[in-house]
Amino acid sequence: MNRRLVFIYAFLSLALLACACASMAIGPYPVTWMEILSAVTGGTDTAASAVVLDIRLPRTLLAILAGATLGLAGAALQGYLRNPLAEPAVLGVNGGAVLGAVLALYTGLSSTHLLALPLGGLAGALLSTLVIYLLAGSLSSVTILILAGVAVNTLLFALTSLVLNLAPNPFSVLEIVFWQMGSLADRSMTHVLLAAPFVLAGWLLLLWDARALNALTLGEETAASLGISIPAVSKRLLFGTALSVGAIVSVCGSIGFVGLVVPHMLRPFAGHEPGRLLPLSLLGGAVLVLAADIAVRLFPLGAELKLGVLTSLLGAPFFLYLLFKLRRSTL
Amino acid sequence: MNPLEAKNLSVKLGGRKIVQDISLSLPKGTITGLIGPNGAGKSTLVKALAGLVPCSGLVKLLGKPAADYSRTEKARLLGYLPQERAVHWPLAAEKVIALGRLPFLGPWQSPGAADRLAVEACMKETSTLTLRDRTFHTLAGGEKALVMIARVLAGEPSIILADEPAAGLDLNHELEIFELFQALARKGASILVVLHDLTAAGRFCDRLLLLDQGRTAAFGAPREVLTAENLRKIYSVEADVLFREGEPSIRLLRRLKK
Repeated sequence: MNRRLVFIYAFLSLALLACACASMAIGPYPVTWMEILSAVTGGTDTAASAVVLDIRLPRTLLAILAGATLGLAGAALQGYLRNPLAEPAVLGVNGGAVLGAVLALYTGLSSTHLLALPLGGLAGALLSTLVIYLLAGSLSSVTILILAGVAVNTLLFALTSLVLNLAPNPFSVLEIVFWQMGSLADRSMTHVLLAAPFVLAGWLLLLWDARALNALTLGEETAASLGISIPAVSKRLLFGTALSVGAIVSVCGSIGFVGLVVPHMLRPFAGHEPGRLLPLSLLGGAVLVLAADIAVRLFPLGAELKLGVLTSLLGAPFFLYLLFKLRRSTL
Repeated sequence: MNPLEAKNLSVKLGGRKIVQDISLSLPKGTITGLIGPNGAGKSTLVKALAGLVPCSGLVKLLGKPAADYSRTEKARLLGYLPQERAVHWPLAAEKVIALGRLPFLGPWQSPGAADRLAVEACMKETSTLTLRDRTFHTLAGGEKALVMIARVLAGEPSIILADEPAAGLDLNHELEIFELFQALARKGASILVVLHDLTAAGRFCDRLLLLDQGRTAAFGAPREVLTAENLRKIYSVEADVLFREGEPSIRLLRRLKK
C-alpha cells in the first residue's frame, strides 16, 4: 500500500470514530458523556440510557450501514459499467423497494405492523431484481443488464405513481412522499437487525469482484481472456446490490447521490483502480452519511430536515460539477 | 504436438457465417501471420481461438480440448491482445501491466513478490520501465502499444494471440514490436498475429494464413502465400511481388474494380 492510501484510510477511520461519538451525543435530549458510557456498557436503566440505546444507537448504526452500502454499491456499479456517472439506482433495485414500501403504506399495513413497510420494501427489491435477472437472460454483456434495469425501474416508478394517484386520502400521499425523502429518524434496533443480515450478505457479494472490476478496466473481452466470467460477475453485482441497497432503501427510504459522489471523491486515492476503491468507498460512504445525519439534527429549523433532502441538495450541484469537468476533459 | 491446434472452426454471428471451417496449428517457437482484407473474419477467428466467441469445431491447447480447461488455467496458458488499446480508468502504466497477473491471484489476493518480478521483467523486455508511473491515457500510440503487449507478457503465456499489435504505429515502433515478437518466439512462444502490412508479414512471420470471406484462401510459407495471383484474387490489386533473400517487396500497381 502506498502512503496516500494509508493516509486516507487513517483519516476516514478517525472521522468515522469521531462522527460516531458525535452522533451518540447530539440530539434534542441532553445526555452527558458519562451517561452514554454507562448506557453502552450496560449500566443503570435511566431515561438517558433509554435515549442512548433505543434512539441514538440504532440511528448511528443505520447511518453507518446505509452510507457504507451506498458508497460500496456505487463504486461497484461504476467499476462494472466503467462509467463514473452510474449509481445503484440504475439497476432498478430502488424502484422495487419504493413500490413495495409504498404498497405497505397504501394498504395501511404499515400502521398496524411496525415492520410491514421495510418488509414490503425488501420483497419489492428482491422481486424486481428477479424480474431483471430473468429479463437479462444469460447476462453475457454489461449493456443487457443495464437496459433491463432501466426498463424495469421505469415501469416500477410508473406503478408507484399509479398507487399515489389512487391513494384514498391525502394523508397517505403525504406519508408516502415524506417516507420517500429518506430519513434515519425514529428507527429502532429492530430495523437495524432486520436490515443487517441482508446488508452484510450484499457487501460480501459486492466485495467479491474487486479483481474482476480491475480486469474490466481493459474491456469485457480482455477481462474474459484473463479468466473472468462476466455472467458470474453480473449475477453477484445484481444480487449484491439488491440485497444491500434494497434493505437500506426499505428501512431508510431513498438517500440520493451518496452512491454517485463518494466513489468519485475517493477514486484518486485508490489510484483509480476500481477494485481498490470498493473498501475505501464503503468507509467513505459511512462517514459521509453519518456526518450528514448529524448535520440534519443540528439544522435550526422547525421540522427536522430529511436526510435524503440534504444529500440530494448537496449532491446535485456536485453532480453538475462532475458533468462539466467530464465535458472539459473530453473536449 | 502443437501448443494450439484448431479443427474445422466456424463462427456464426447474427445469422451470418463470419468464419467457416478453418483448421490451423501454432507450432512452438513460431510466428504465424493472419492476413486478409477488412471484414475477412481475422479478428473473429482470433477471438474464437481465445474462446471469447461461441464457435463450432475443436480447439486444442497442449493437446487437450480447450473446453476441458478452467477459465484460470486457460488464462495462464493463452494471452489475448485485442486490437483496441482501451483502458477505461486513468491507471498508471505499471498498474495496467500488472493486470496481466490476474489469472495468478485469488479473489482478494494482492500481487506478491513473484508477480512484481514478472511485471518488472516484462517492463524491461518491452522497454516500458520509464513509463511505469505515467497515466496510460497520456502515453503516445507506440508507448500504449508496448504497455499493452507488456500486459499480455506479464501473464507469461506460452500461446499469444495478437490482433493488429502494430496498427497505427510508425515504422520504428512497428519494427520494435515485431522484433519483440521474434524474440518471444525464439524463447518458445507460439504466436498468432493479425497484420495488414504484407511486407512485415513476409519478413517476420514463419507462416501466413490468408483469410478471405471467412475461409482459408492460402496457408503456408510467405513465399507461397504472397503471390501476385493471390493479391489480385483476394485483395483486388495488381502488384509486383519480389522476394529478395527470403524477404518480400511488394510494389502496388493499381486497384482492380471488384
